[in-house]
Amino acid sequence: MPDVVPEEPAGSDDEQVLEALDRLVDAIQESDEQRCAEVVGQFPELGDFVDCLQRLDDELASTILVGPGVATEPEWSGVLQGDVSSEGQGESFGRYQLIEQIGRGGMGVVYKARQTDLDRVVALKMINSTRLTNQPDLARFYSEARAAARLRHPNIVGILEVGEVHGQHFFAMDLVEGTSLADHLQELSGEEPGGIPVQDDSVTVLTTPLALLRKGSGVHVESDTAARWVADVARAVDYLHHQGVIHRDLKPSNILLDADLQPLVTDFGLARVWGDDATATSGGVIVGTPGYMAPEQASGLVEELSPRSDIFSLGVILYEMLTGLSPFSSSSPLDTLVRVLESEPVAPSSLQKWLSRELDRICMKCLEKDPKNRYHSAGELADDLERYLRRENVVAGSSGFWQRLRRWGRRQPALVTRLAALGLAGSIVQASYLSETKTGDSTGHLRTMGVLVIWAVLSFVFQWLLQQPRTVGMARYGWCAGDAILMTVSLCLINSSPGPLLIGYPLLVAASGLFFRVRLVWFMTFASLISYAALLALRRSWHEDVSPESAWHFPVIFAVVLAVIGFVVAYQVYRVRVLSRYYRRGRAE
Amino acid sequence: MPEESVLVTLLNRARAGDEAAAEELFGRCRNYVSLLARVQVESWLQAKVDASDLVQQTLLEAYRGLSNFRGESEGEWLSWLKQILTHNATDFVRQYKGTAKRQVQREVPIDVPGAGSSFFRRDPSDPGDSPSQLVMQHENAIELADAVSRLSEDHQEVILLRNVQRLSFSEVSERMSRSRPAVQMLWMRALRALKTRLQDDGHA
Repeated sequence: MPDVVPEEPAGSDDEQVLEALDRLVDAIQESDEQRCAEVVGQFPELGDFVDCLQRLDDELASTILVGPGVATEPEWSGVLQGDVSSEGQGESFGRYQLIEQIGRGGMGVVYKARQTDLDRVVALKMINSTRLTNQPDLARFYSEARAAARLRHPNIVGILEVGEVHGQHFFAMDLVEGTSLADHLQELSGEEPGGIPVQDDSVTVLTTPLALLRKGSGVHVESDTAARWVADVARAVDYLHHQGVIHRDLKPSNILLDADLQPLVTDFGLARVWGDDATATSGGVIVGTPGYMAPEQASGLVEELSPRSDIFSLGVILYEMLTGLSPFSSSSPLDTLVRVLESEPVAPSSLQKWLSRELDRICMKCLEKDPKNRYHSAGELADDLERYLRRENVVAGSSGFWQRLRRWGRRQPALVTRLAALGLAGSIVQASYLSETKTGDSTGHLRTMGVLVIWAVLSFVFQWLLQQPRTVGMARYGWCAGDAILMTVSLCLINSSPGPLLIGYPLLVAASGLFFRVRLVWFMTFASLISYAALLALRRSWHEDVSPESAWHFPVIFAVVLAVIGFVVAYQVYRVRVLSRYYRRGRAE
Repeated sequence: MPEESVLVTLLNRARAGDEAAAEELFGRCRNYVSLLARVQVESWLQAKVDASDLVQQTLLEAYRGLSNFRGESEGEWLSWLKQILTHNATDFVRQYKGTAKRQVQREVPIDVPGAGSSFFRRDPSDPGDSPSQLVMQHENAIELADAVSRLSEDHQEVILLRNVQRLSFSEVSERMSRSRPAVQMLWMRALRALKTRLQDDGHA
């Protein structure tokens, strides 16, 4: 070991100690007890380190350095040397000769390989060992693989073999010379697909619809081609369903396009055989990719998973091809899940004006939240798409008034809940005004109703701002502030003391939590506190109804409780965020 | 060694088919194997490498070959893990260099490792050549590895390079692309942190 020359000015104590410590390590590594004792003699404070250093050396270093790179030439170092020189040669893997890596995904690396005994070229999917650490995982993997291996269909990538070569599990599949639909879409969008296409974890790949809008979208597959592909895929999926297999993870990266641009479904990694594997799903683990998952899948209702969940995914894929936008994808998996569960995408034709209403209807029928309202089978979806391609009337009916109203409501939940609340409040105010016509203060009543109307109009404005990519961030805060101010104004206008109506403030705080943003909750809490203070001050000057003997500490308690409510809501949002991050990390691994 | 450490208890339960014990056993050894894997691969490739696949592979093979393990002490267990690791590291490094050619001879089942496996298939009733020195070395290795893995990434790296790979500071500073004094300061802080961790663990 080279001795460290104390070239640095040994001015500070630290440097001297450092240098001594270094000598101590050398002494320990050379098992030179005498020198070790010398150093500790000079610097007694280093005595504490001896044990720690000794342990590092004994328990880690000495055991490791028996390996490569030291005097004792390991028997396999020659092998490595040989490898370095034999660059470019295919590595043999059992009965296969690896040719090149063609992809990498969540499951593992995919190689193009030659099967030596049958002399055919196949795709070998190596299963990432992190996926199969224990016996149940392995058992599940083999049961899935067996299920997949008996399937044959012109639009399915067939599994040829499942096996293991010294601990490495793999699938051998038909080799598809082409790209995945995901890469195809990405190329259309003008982005270079990476050298190694990311075949999984759309969580990181997908951008938010708004981000795409900002870029000026219009990235889409020509509509008849999209319909043709989805029809073919739906046929293949229908076949899977008839064989008792639900795909569970249909998405563009799992659909390959061969040289003739025929779509082929692949990656039955998550498909499970019904009934055959009850234990594998009993944990209710969410499998699938957020953004392509059906609501029942996203909410972990494993027992409700059915072939219609795949139909939902097909709808998402169709939507994405038609519009260039993924209907639910958002910046975080949590937001994506919330959108899948609750929000309703806008009709494709409102994003791309030239799209036919028929395709709209087909798409939206796939994306129904309730599986009962979707197509009954993938075959029916394929039939309908083919009808569209023949320019016949599709079965998917246009939605009725109530259905459209419901969808509209789901698209703008914030607006709808506010309008409902304002409408309710307005009608109660009106009813009370009518019931006391004699004593009623008509100007006061008009003023109150006026504020409610302004509030309703402002809600529309903020909803509009919320949908503009440039103002979306500001709109949330603006809306919160507007609510707090209008609430205060309307409470100010009441002649009698607001009393129980103050519950409106905690309501605003609680409602702000629905945006799942901790900072927004805090903002709303502060806005409410300030508004409440302003309300007290204004009422004192306007109405003089605050009798001086009314307990001064009630408002203080109210304010404190309001702050505590804000804290609780913010904390809950924070917890959900943490879970969301955890979930994302879990997927990324 | 006859003393029933937690690891040995887990090992025995795992061998009797207790899945939960196996999970815990491998969970506890994980940091140790990770650290060894990292150092082994990095000292060889002389670069920073993500060796998590290697770790996974090793633990998986150890799990699958659990019934072939004949040792009884913690030391033997860890040595066994280390052998599997070394065995896999070859493949890993080759794969990493991207030029590898797997030789037929490498495709031997994992339960037949190379040299130095005297205790590997040792008759349990024969305590003869129990490598007592190894046992002593390993007694607290898990604890140490855990403590090291809980250090910050920088601290881990500097300790692994200087103390475990035994590189000089010039080499360490080159590898970490920092000045030598910076690396030395970092190293001292890392050692202090580790020492505190170990003392805390000792008291806990």
